[in-house]
Amino acid sequence: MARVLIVEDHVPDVYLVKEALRSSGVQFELTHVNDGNAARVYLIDVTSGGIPDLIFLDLNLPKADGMELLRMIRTWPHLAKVPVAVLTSSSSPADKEKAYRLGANLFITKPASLPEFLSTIGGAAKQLLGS
Amino acid sequence: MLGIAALLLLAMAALFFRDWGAYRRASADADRTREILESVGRLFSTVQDAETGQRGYLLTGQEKYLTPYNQAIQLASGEMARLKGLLNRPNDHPDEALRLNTLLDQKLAELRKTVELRRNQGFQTALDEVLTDRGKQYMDQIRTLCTGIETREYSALIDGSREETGYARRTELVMISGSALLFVFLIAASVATNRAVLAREQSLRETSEARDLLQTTLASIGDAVVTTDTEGRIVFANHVARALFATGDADVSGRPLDQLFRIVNEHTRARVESPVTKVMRMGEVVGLANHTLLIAQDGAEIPIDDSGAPIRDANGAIRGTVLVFRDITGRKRAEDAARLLAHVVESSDDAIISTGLDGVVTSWNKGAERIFGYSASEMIGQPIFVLAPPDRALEMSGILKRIAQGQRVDHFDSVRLGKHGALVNVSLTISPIIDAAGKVVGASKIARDITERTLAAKAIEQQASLLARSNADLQQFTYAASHDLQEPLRTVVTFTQLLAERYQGKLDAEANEFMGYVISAATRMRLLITDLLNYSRIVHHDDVPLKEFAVKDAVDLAVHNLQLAIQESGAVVETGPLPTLRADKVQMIQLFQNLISNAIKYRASQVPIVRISAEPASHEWVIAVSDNGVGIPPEYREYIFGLFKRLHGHDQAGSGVGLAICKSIAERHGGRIWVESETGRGSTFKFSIPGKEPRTA
Repeated sequence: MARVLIVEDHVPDVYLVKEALRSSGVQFELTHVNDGNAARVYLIDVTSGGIPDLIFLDLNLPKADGMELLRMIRTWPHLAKVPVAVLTSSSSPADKEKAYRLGANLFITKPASLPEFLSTIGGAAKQLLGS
Repeated sequence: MLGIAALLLLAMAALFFRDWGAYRRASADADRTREILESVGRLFSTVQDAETGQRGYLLTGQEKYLTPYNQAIQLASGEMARLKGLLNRPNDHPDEALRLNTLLDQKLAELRKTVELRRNQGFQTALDEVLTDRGKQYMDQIRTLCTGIETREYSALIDGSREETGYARRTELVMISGSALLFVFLIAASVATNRAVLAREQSLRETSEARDLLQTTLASIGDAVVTTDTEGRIVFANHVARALFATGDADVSGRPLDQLFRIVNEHTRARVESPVTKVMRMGEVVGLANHTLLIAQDGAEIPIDDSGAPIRDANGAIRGTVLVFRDITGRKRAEDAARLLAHVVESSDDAIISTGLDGVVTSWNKGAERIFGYSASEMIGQPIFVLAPPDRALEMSGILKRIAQGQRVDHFDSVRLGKHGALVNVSLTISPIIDAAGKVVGASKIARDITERTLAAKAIEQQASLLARSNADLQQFTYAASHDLQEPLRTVVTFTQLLAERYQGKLDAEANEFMGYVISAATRMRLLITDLLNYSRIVHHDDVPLKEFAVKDAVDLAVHNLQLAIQESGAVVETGPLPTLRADKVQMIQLFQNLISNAIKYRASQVPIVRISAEPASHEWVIAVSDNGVGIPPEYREYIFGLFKRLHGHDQAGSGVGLAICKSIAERHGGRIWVESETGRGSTFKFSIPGKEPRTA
């Protein structure tokens, strides 16, 4: 059972990610946090849910910048190796480059059609979870 | 010289004659002396002969011994008379001859007495008489006297001979020295004469040279020079004159001047009084009236300036005239040009001012009066610096310094102070005034009043910055809007799709239909927003370094991207020779993609054919994409390049952004885009992209 954390303020996208994971056939346990602060709290106190196996990280978040969160994740030793997929509505090359520089494993611009969304996210999850 | 020679000769002659006379006199004296000596000798020997005869008679008493005695007696008196005659020279003592005569008479008397005594009283008595020695005494005295005379005369003869030799030597000396003097004089005279002859030759030569020089000067003078006699017939005409009258090489001497040309008034064409007549009438130097034309033999009309003067002889009588004509075509042209220039300067709207290097104004036109408010009379002689606003004084003197170094100032925008304190914005062009010797002597300034232009430029600048801000705002808005709209739209689209997928068949037919509408509208909206975002990105696009690439490659990639549409429509894309360009390749692909896609989209009933070609224009390439589609009505040819402008109503295919993007791309490359089309006959979209060396790839 893979522990998947999704940091996302836009709830419909959480559903879509869940749908994508489901359709990909991955066994998962999804934890959702709404904003940057909640994500920090969750990630510092990992006893609550254990160290995640995969993190979907939105960039445009309330209360904390997604990039800043990514940087923090990569500086904490217990999280340093956790795969992070940046999932954002931005398609800016600058954002993409910055994200990879900070240690993101994937940079995914949220696809605009359902089939594409499902296949892209599902594929990413399978790839990052190594299954 | 000749006088001196004559005097010399005269002196020599005088000396000669004097010495010659002296010599002759001396010679005559010597002859007389010789005669005296002979006479004395003869006289004494006669007396001796008489005495000898007496002695013989006395001794013998024979008469025959008396013959020499008698002869001697007779001779003695004659001889005595001659001697007396000879001894009457001025220096001779008269007593000497008398005493000799007396002694002679006494001796002869004693001889006669003794002879008489012998004859009459005998020998003894005669002897006695002899023995008285009276006879002997007389004889001794005669002898003494004669010897004295002889001695004196001999010595005189010797002296005379010496004197004679002296005279001869002196004459010789006079002759030699005189001759020598004459010879020297002759040489001197000959040298002097030679010199005089040479001088005369020289003078003759100079006179001839002077005449030649005068002739040459007249012939080579730049003006036409003609001399005439009093009747106006030509005596001499120099080369320029013959050229002016267009008489060719013909000899014009003796021809009346009036036959060779006419002089008329430039404006009235009336014939002007002949200069010869005028000179003859006035009798003094005259000039012609202004505006005269000379009409030459060949009909050429030459504006001339002329003057004439009478030629007078030594007595002041007029012997002819000399006329000088000058072709003033060049001068008139220069005058006309100068007048034109002056008029241009005066009528110029710009201020045209000249100053010395010290800044003192030397000319000031109407434009300067209008722009700066000062009249010419106020400014000429004043320093130009009165026009300097307080903060520009250094600038003006700096400009003058540059001018003095021969530099110029072009279209330099500055501010000057007008008469009433108003600031005038001017564009200055200042150049050095250079005199004939190439020296900078002043500055000529052209000042254009750009106050209005400056104000207008400021207004435009304000407008432009306003527009730029508004554009930036709009672009920001477009970007933000399209970007932010995308998010909710994505949710709408994905969830409608999710809904449709999950509840397919579980809702009624109407619900399915409604869901269809939502999906369709959302999809269209996504297209619009995507295109808008694309457009916004192109407008917003940071400058991408331009790269050289073959246009053909961009076309191929665009065709590749449109593969599906091309296959569906069966369209044919043809390309002609295409160049290489320096451009943003991605944007070029987009441009071709949009145009080809339009060509296919708005096709007519037949199979779409798209032709892509290029042709070079000056410094740019014009690339054409033509189709055989429905075409575009003329009134929409501008309209279609606007954002969201569409011709085909609620056609699903277009967003109304594609051509706006094309326009934006062309303009971002410094080019433009336009369409040539007729409804129903297809369209040709053309765009230009600058390229320094248009060439075919």
